[in-house]
Amino acid sequence: MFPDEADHSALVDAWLDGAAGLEPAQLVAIFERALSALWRRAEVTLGEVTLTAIVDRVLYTAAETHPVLSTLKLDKAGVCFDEFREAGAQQVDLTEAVHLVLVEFLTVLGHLTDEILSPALHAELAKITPLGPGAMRGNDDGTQGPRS
Amino acid sequence: MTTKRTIPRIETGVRNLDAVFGGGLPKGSVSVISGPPGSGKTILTQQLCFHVASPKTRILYFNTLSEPTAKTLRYLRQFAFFDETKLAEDFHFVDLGVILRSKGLEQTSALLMERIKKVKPGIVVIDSFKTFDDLAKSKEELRKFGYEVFVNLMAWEATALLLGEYGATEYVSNPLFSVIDGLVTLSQRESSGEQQRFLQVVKMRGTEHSRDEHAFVITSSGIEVFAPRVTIHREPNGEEREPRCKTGIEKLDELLADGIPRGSSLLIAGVAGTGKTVMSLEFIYRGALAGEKGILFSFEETAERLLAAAKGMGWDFQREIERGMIELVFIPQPEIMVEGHLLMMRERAAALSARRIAVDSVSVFLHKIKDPQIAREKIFQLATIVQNTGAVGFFATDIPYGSNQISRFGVEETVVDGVILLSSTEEGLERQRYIEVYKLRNTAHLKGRHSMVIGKGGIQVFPRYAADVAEEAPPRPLGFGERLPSGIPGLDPLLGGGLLPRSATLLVGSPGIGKSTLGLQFILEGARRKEPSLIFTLEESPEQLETAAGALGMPLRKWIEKGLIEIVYLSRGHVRSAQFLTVLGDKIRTLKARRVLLDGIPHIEHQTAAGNELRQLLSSLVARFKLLDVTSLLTAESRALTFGRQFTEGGFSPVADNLLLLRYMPIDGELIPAIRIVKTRGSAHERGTYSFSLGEGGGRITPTPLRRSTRRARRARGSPAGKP
Repeated sequence: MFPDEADHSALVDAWLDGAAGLEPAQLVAIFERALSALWRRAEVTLGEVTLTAIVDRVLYTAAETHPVLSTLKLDKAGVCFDEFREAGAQQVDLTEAVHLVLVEFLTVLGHLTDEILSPALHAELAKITPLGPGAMRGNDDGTQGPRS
Repeated sequence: MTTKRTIPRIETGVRNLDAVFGGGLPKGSVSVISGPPGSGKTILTQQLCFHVASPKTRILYFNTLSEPTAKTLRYLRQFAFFDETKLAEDFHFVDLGVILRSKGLEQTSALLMERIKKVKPGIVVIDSFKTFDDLAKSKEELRKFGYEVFVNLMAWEATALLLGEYGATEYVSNPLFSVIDGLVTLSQRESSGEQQRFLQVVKMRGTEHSRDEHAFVITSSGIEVFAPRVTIHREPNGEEREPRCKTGIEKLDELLADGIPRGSSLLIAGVAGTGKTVMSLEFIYRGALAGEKGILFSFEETAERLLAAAKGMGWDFQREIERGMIELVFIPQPEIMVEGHLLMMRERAAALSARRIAVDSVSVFLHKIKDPQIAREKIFQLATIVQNTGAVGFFATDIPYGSNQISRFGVEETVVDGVILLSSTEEGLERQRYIEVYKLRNTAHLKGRHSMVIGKGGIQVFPRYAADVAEEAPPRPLGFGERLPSGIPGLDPLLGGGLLPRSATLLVGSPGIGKSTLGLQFILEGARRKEPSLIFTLEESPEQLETAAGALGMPLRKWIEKGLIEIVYLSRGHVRSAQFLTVLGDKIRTLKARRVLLDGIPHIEHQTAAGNELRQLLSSLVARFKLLDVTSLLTAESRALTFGRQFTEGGFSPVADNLLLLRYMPIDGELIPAIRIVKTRGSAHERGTYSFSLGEGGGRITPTPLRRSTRRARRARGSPAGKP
């Protein structure tokens, strides 16, 4: 059985439970790693242009609820967090914003691919776990540094 | 196991288009609607959009340089689907004309995206997309623009309709057509002698769409697609669960045995003037009287003329129409649109819950169709409508004069469940009508031609054979063990004690020798025994018979008054051999007659074309008498005056159980009336020749054979022989 929207939301809830207690900056960092991982996995199948259009929609829609998300910018390499790191960390409802973006991403991609990609994306998200104290940003392999 | 997911569909709101798509327009698809100017692209799209538009499914409609938005809106107001209230919130028109002219494709793409993000439409229309072809500076720019638009439409899960005047060559060369999900073409051309519009779904990913061209019309209600091939399908029928249909047309049901299975369609075939319209009308009318609603689709006669025709037959159609039992639908020939009217017929029949459907005629309905296979398909669809409605259909069809066909196109009979052939032939100075059940599936109908009369009250069929007698079945046996008195003094001893019940006796005699008198005695004896008896006279009127019987002191009038005897004069119109059995059978049943005298077979002989037919008729007649438990006596005239080799003029002897010859015998220079028993089935009988005399009370047979005692016979002879 392929997952549906409720499954995506439940998965993100569970994932965020694992990130409970993180400082805002740490939450932004793990969010960045998660989105980066999802981007890379989806890009393999969908290609850059299509994925850019989809993520543009996801971020545009999410920003209508959480305007802070409009500081996330799209470029050829994916989602740029430069502005969001600071703005997001100051956001009171950051967890809800993160939840919304991830669920929207999985849901839209699920719709468009008839959920074919969803199991792989779920698995990708599950790999992203909180890093140790002091970790502010990083990639899903635990390394820190600029996006590839 | 992989779970198959179905692509959600959008209900188009265009009649029958969803069926053509195989279930509606796929949600999220990008389709091109292509066609020349005036082919209906914009109307089709607008109709769909107004149907779908809602706060949940907003419409974003981009007009390019092809047609200003104001103009589009002005013309749209004429259509019933136009809903002004939807324009404010759910329907967003954007005119791209200015930006296209001034900024080019790149800026246009940005504007498109800006509007899409703002409106979040369920459906995006670009009318016309081909404008971008014309404005692109290069193929590369066009390709890039197109790809961006498609990707963004896809990302926003918008269903897109791109309109354009594309030609067939562009479907191959233009890269647009390799990325789109669907291609719907609209066209118009002459077909069957008139300009018609056509719609074809050339491509629609993820669907099992129809690949045929389907005619469509544009009316003030919008577009209506005719697609009987995809919308009319046979459903499982319940014909076995329901009682069969009895037409109610006099005696026709006898030909149809158990009746017509529900869901069946019958061709009513014949050349002009054979009664097809009357039969269709009566079928509908009799149904209404029996509580079955009926609808008649006429392509030849107006409703007024049909009503007048029905009135002339004595049928109160108007009352049945007012009761809601009958609908007459007239479609003038020039307005016939086969596919459209097929669907109309389906809807009208279903709306009425019609149990009877008549089409007068399918040959006119399909007159524009030149290809017999198409005609066959249309008849099949018509028959499918009848079957799915659970009705019975009568489809009148004109047979070309002088052909051997049993339908107009020569193929319809292969599709329908039954065929009733109506014909007429010249017989003497008259034209006689005939009916034949040529075919009726799963029904042991009576075969062959049967006489038919159309007169006040409707159609009257005269089944040639008794409907309840199987043609191959042996005749019912005689009632051995019992003897019935003949009523003719001196005859019973010659017959072995009397007549066997259910026997048929043929009395063949020279003119004026006394056949009718002996026949009357046979009938009077029955009356005395309280056996209802019938006299069918083909020569003399009942009054003349009564008078003649009275002259001989035979109490015929008394028994008539007591109701035990009835005389039926068969007029020339009824004596047609084909009608004879029916009239006779009905009378016997009504009176519950046990004895029958049929007086005057020569008369029948003169009316029939061939002796074989008469012999067949007599054979059927005798079989029917036996079936009805009737003992009968038939008189036939012989041209011979004296005994010879030939017993009867027509060779009728094999059909009778008893054969009695009445002849004159020349004895001593005089002609003596005499009787000879030639044959008695199941009895020993006297083979001698006996004189007989006629006097008060009728005929009397001398008990001694003539040759052995000529003198005594002469002494016993009373008054001269003759008719009573």
